[in-house]
Amino acid sequence: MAYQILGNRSGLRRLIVRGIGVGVLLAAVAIYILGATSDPRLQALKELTLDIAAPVTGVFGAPVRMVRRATDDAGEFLDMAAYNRQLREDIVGLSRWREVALRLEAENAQLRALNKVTLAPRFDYITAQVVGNSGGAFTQSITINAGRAQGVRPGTVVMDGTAAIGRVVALGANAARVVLVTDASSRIPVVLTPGDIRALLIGDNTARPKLQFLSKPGRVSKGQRVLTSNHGGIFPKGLPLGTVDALVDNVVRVAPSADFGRLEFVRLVIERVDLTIDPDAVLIVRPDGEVEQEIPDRDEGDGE
Amino acid sequence: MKAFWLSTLTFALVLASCFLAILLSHVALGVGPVSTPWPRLGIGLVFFWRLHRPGTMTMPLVLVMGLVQDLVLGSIPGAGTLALLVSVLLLDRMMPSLRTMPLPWRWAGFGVFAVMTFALEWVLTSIAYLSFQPFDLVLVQGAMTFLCYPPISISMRQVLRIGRTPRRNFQG
Repeated sequence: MAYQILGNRSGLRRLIVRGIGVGVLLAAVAIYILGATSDPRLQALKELTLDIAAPVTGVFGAPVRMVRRATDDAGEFLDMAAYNRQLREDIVGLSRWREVALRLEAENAQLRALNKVTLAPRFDYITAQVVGNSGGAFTQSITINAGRAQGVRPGTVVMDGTAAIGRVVALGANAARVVLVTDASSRIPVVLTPGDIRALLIGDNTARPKLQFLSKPGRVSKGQRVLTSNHGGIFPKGLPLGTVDALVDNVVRVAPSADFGRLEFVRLVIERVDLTIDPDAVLIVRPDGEVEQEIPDRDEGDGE
Repeated sequence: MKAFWLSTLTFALVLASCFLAILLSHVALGVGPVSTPWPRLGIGLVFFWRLHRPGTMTMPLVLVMGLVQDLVLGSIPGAGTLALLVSVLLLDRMMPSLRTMPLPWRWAGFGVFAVMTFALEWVLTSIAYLSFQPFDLVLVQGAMTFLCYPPISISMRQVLRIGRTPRRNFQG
């Protein structure tokens, strides 16, 4: 039988083609399994793709951005009267808040002086341009033109200026992929204020992510602010994410504060790692891992 | 020698057009909200070349294109690739008869192809996330991709005609 197949030239050709087809299918299944389990072996491939695709997408995107700016400008020009009216109303409201902020700032300064506390800024910010988006129904992510060379690290939090929009998941030398809070793989520990309700903000590829595992489900109400809680250590505490929007079929939905329709520039929150203090306050460790100073053991001193 | 250069040129054209289509799908930025799905032009190009140049758009090349699309668009690596490969395999028998048919029939064939690809990717993505993904967005993206096929087909057929001797009208 094998002789017959191999003896026939077209039969052999068909066999080779089928073999290649099966091989290709098996390779695709293996890649899917690796991808679905977020295997780190695909990381190098993702980084390479980012570094190649981001600059090219940036060039292709330039005319699209230009057209968008022109249409935005034209639209704003037509709505100028309405904008002016809205701005006047906002100014009145903000003047009142400015007074409150000034009073609180003075009070804060007084209290800090009393406590002799000097707080060093913990975060640096860098701005990056959005050069591409996933544009897909299966994922919600964007590509930015800042990467490892600019100090971005995996997990770096990304904001649109006022609210957190996501975190860096893949990193190239000069580009990074940011998975948005609306993506199905996004899980962010949050706190709802007022009420101090802890929950998990879970993306499901819709425009409004949902809240789950609420610590006080009965006390959730529309309009509550949703802030990051720093549980898990990736998102710094207190970054605004959105407001509680609606309760549909016992699912609490959140309206993100970020304007995903106008993401052109984003701000990356880079945590400073000048000095790491051991939680037990025994060692002070430099970023290179060397111990700078050892504090004598209290028990030893007490004993003598 | 001429045949070699012609096949090399065709391969370069297939590769370049597919990469360009995938990158253009990634540029969707700025035309609307980030959460709005945009057509996957790469799927249209893979179908077109599998239909008209099956010897160039081979299964290994379909695998490469699917993987590039997944990596560029940030989907689960392999989900779109596997969906694309399975759809190509299932519709391969239909391709020779479609090739000679007029555009509306080829467009309908692409519709079947797109439905299968998106449905399979939806299933594979749902399995990977262990939860059903919103299907309405898939429908929107599938419909947009379907609508994009006629311009792709017309423009690429024009590209294929470059260098060919024009048909003469002997009646006159």
